[in-house]
Amino acid sequence: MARSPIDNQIRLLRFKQGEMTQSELAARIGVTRQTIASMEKGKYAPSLEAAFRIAEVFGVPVTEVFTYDVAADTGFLKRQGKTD
Amino acid sequence: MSFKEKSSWIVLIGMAVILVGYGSLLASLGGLAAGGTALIVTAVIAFIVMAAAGHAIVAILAKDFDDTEDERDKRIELQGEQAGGVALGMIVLLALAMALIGGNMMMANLLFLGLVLSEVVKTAWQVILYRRLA
Repeated sequence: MARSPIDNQIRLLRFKQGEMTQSELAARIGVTRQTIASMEKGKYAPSLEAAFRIAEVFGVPVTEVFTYDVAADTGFLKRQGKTD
Repeated sequence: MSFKEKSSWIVLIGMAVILVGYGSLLASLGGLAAGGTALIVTAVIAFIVMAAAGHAIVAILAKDFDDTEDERDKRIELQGEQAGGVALGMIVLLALAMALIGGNMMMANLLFLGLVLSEVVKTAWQVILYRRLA
């Protein structure tokens, strides 16, 4: 399976917040602990709303929580090739 | 494992028990044309009892019971329902073919109209959503 172009720093940010638990983060943004675990493993891409809520909890811009690697986005690169 | 996932396991196991149990019973009674209303009602009640007992046990044993449904649960549920819809459509087509072969036109028409109606509901809902999101 192709690697997702979107990665996240949720685990690191939880650590920096004094080892905030997955359950605490989940409760604060309104999802289950399992959903946070799934996000950290890169298996689940959250909605924009959830992404912004996570950034708000950590007090950082959303781009510090989620990173986008264009080189891994083959679908996007293919489209760029077509339109160039 | 979240409560929602445990719930899915309970329903899956309950349904599998009913499928195998009811299927075996039908086979022993002489096939698909065997059975009756009482047997179907019994199967439905058996499933409800199994599901209720399963959910109650999970809720009692859970350290911190939480049946909150979030966006991931909804996405998983939608994809599961999509797969279930495909299976249901195939079964209805099979039943329609059997009704046509057996000359049971009332059943064939009912199944055909049911299929058409479900497509009408599906596409009407899609049109409404397209308009809402336009």
